[in-house]
Amino acid sequence: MTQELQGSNSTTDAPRGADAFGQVGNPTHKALPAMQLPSEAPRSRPREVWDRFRRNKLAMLCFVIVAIYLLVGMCSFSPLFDRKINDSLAESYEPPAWRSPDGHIEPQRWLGLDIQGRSVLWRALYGTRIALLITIITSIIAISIGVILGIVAGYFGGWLDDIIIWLYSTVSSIPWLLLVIALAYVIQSNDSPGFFLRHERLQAIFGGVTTVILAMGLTDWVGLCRLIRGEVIKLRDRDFVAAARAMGLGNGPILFRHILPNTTHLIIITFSLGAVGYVQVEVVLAFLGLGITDKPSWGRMIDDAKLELLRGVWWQATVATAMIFVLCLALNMLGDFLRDALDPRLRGVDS
Amino acid sequence: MWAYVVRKFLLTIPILLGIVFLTFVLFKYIAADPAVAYAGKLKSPEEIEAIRHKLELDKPRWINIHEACAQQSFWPVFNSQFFDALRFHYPQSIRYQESVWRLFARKAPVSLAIQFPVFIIELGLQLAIALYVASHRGRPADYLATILAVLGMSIPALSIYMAAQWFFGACLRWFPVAGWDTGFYALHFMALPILVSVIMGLGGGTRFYRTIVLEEINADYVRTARAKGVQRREVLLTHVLRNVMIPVVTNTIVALPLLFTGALLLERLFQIPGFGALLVDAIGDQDQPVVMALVTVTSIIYCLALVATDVCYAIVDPRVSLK
Amino acid sequence: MRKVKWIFIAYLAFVALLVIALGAAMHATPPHDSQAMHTAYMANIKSLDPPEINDDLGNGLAGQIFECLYNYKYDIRPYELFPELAEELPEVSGDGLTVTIKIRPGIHYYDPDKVVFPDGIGPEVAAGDFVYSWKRIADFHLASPLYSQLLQGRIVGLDGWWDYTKATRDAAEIDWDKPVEGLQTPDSRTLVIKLTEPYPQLNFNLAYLPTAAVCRKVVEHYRDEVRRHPIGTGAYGLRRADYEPDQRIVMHANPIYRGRQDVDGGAVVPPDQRLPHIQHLDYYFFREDLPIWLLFQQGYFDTAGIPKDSFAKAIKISTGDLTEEMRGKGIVLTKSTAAETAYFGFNMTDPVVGKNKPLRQAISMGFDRATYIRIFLNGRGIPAIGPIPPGFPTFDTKRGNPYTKFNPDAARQQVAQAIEINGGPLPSLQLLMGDTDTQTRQEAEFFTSQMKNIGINIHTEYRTWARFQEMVDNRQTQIFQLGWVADYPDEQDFFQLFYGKNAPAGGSNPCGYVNPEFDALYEKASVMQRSSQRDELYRKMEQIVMDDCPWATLLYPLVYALHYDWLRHTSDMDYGYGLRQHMALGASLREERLAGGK
Repeated sequence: MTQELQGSNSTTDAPRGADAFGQVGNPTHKALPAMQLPSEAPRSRPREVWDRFRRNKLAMLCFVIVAIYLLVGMCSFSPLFDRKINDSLAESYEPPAWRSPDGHIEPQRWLGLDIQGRSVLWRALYGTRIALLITIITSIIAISIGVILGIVAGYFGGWLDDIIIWLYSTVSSIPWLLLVIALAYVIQSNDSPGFFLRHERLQAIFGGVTTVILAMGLTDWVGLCRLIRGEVIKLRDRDFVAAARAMGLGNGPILFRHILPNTTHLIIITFSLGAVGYVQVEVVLAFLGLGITDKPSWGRMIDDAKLELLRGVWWQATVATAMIFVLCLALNMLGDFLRDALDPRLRGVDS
Repeated sequence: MWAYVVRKFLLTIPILLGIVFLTFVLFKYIAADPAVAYAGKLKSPEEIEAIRHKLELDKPRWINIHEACAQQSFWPVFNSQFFDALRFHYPQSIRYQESVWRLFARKAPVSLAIQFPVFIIELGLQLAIALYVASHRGRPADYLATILAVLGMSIPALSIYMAAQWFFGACLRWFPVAGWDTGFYALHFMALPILVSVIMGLGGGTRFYRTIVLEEINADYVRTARAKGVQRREVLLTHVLRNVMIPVVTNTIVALPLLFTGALLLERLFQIPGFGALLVDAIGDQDQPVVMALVTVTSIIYCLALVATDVCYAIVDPRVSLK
Repeated sequence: MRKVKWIFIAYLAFVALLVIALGAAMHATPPHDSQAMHTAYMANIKSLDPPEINDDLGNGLAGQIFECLYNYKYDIRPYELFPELAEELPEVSGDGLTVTIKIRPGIHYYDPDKVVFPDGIGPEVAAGDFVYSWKRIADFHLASPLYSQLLQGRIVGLDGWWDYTKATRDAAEIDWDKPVEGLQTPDSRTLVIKLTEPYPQLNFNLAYLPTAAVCRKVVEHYRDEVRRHPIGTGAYGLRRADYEPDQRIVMHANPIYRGRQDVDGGAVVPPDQRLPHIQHLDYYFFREDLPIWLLFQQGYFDTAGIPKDSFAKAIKISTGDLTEEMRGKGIVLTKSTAAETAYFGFNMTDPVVGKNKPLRQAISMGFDRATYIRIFLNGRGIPAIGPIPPGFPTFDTKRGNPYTKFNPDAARQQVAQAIEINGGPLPSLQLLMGDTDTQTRQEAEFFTSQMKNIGINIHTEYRTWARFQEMVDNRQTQIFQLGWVADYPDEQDFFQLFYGKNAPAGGSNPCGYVNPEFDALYEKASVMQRSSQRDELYRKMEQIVMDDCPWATLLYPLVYALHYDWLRHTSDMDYGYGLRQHMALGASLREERLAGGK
């Protein structure tokens, strides 16, 4: 499969089919054997999920890894990091070493120094901040749009549904990576991030990352929208919704208290697997020269290393790749686990 | 059934219109003005005006009322940028000074030359591996395949390409690091990109096919056949494979349009003058006609392929409900 | 089951075939023409039609095929013009407004494809060809990027011609015989140009490729395709079949070439002694410089630049010369200055930066040019003094500029003054870069850290080149990095960048710098030919600019070029075209080296 254009978002995602005609979910699930029970909307099952979680050592490990990244990312907002990533220890490249030339053990040198003599270790750790920002905020944007549109389309139906179906069919007809690149160039060339300039603190936090975030966030809501729409359509005809309406509850409370909570499992799975895609695409965008910030990010480090490799400077590329790799691996496995636990349709299919 | 097909195509039309509309708005309203970039060192307003005229940017965007009034007739209303986009009329590429269609015709075969072999090789390998591990589910081979697949999907593509270039090109010197040539010598440059693409794409596809095969294997008829005493291998290759073909074929139809666009990263790094490289360069050069044409056409073909997929499903699988 | 088996076997056979083909191709390398000069290029070619060419690569390629009225003498410094298609230097009237040029007889166009002219020989070059060619530059429908740079507003009646072509809706209906008052041909060998005001640099523009002689029949035959069918009078010709701009271009020697005036005088030289020496020119397109470098080391290419990351392998840092290894292969290094200045420009209309001279001076003093050149350019540059680079008569290394000497203490004092003028602490300043690649990013980071050292905060924005130009033109920047390469050997080419009349947005004055004192001197000098008085004026003008600091001039780049010793008579000229005809290939020496060691 041409991976790049379809995005390596999920491990078993079928091609996103055009279902302008109301077909729900992805085509493969049509082929389900008749013996499986129709899906039950999971009610409060955190207990059940937690039990499964504790039993599965691998999932726990992945969770811990992700938590560590999260922690480092939060720490990287401190001014200590800002200083350390700019500290120049030598004039130019230095390979990884235990000790500094004077002889004492210097952690900063353990992963080598980059072109301006700055510590690769600190820069790689700083990169978690960018990765964090990208994954969380992009996910918030994409998930918000997807959830809102999905719920509106599924619950209200009618012409609203038709319009939203048209919208997501159109957007999903453009190969995702293509759309992201086009949107990113267009946003960047328009200085929309420029309005952050007036607020220096925001500028310090975000920099050029807004291009990447907006480009990915505004385009990746389609999958979730479809899933949620499908789920909501199933839910709205259920007894408990009818009962709530009979009790006199308006649409608002029904949506918030009954429908939305029953879609959270989809949101969680999408978040976990979507994050992988965002981190990977950031690398592609950095390579193409988009989403440039003054601050180090893993994608930038890999891109900078393009020519360095042929010169024999291997440490920057390797470290950045490793950081991305471990995070994506953990997220992938976590996402698989969550999907197994939360989405009953696939239970019994995967190991 | 034909009613279904016709209805399907009719309902696709608003989407196709939507695609043209979306790309149009994206590039005409949000993107920056390309005319300035192509003026010379010393730009005068006259020069910019002439360039804008050449790029057909001085036409009104949506409808051309001015010309209709001037010529006292109705049809010139449609002489606008939007209607030009609708009838796939684009000005010449700024960078290449060539019609966009000629550009595509030149570049697409190059991309295909790489993507098609990759696709064929990958498909066969993925199916074979998927069949194998699905039938040995739970065993070490399955776990190994899963792990390798997930590994392959977690490493950024850029790193793999760069590592391959360094290892095979600079260290072992088996293949040239990058480049392209025409005719027979193109093979010389095709080898490494194909190799790397196959390795990279193996993981995701295998996982996908594995899921599909697993669904089939869990079906009743398989259990029945095995209970009757049919060999596992025969069951696999005759019954399961045939049923699996439906999603495989539909997946293939969907993947075909994407072959043209090539792999954007791959072409850039390995310096292959193909479709994907054209797109990335055009976006960076602000070569508006090329980008618009490319995105629109790719999207439309992709959309039509998806529709074709659904139609295939309808033809093949009677269980699909026709709403 | 059987069917499946056969499908599977067929599939295996196909894959096996593919693998074998790939394996075979692995060892096949494209043939290497021993009579050709092989070079690589990295930029894109838009067009080989002279009025459309405004990039270095296009100029270099088309320059082998087309000829202009004048050209620069090969390898002669200081630069001197000689008549190429003209018979002698132009005759200028007393008031400087009328220029008369006589055309050399007996020069014919060469059609390598033999499509427009069946035997390959076109008509004789006439004065009317130049009139036609320049009218094309001023054609609204052609939208030439050279119009405003070369001809707009200078020739009587040409602007009227532009208006005429604009008013003609259909390009095919333009009457190319409609006379232009300022371009007249009393007879087929005489060209009379009427200028709107005296223009001493006209000769240089007549040596500039877009003004080359173009055959009208060719343009009328090919129309839009003429950019892919260059038919000229120069030393080389290009067949359509050999022109694949994204891969490879092969030019071959023009059999009816009359030779260069500065080499042969007016004599008709026998074919075997004529220029060009090299029979074929092979150009290959590569996007990345590293493969070019690797191929150069294998002897595949005859010339190359040195990519930054391989610099240490090629040049010994201690001596600044080639390593033993390179010299042993027969590689020769040439170092030369380009007529180019790189600078950080300030937007003079910006309220913070434009009105604050101490701030600009501080930024200029706070930047360590020497270290920058060492890290990012491997030492291939000279720290700049003023805007005029070496190679010009008024360039003088003994003249100092305190504002371009690295002096962080003085810079900090200036910053203190700047804060006062600003009426408060300085905000973070914007640096705009015109590229998004690794090198640019690293350079911007270096600048930022240098500025931080003297107490100024910088935030950088990266844009594509197209968008960058737009922003600079619309004065949407504060600090930006640019360079300027001279088009001809007259300092006026640099001074026009500071001229007040060019300052409004979109003009050629990128900073929007206006200084009435400078403008007065500029206008006085603009009608003078080169003389010691004019040099005096130029020095004064440069001094004004150095004091005011609209530019923090950065460096003058040094060009390091490598070539093999079997390539002879190379030169490092900054101006001029058709240079390759002078070079010669020692084919046997090359064979020897390629066979002997690799």
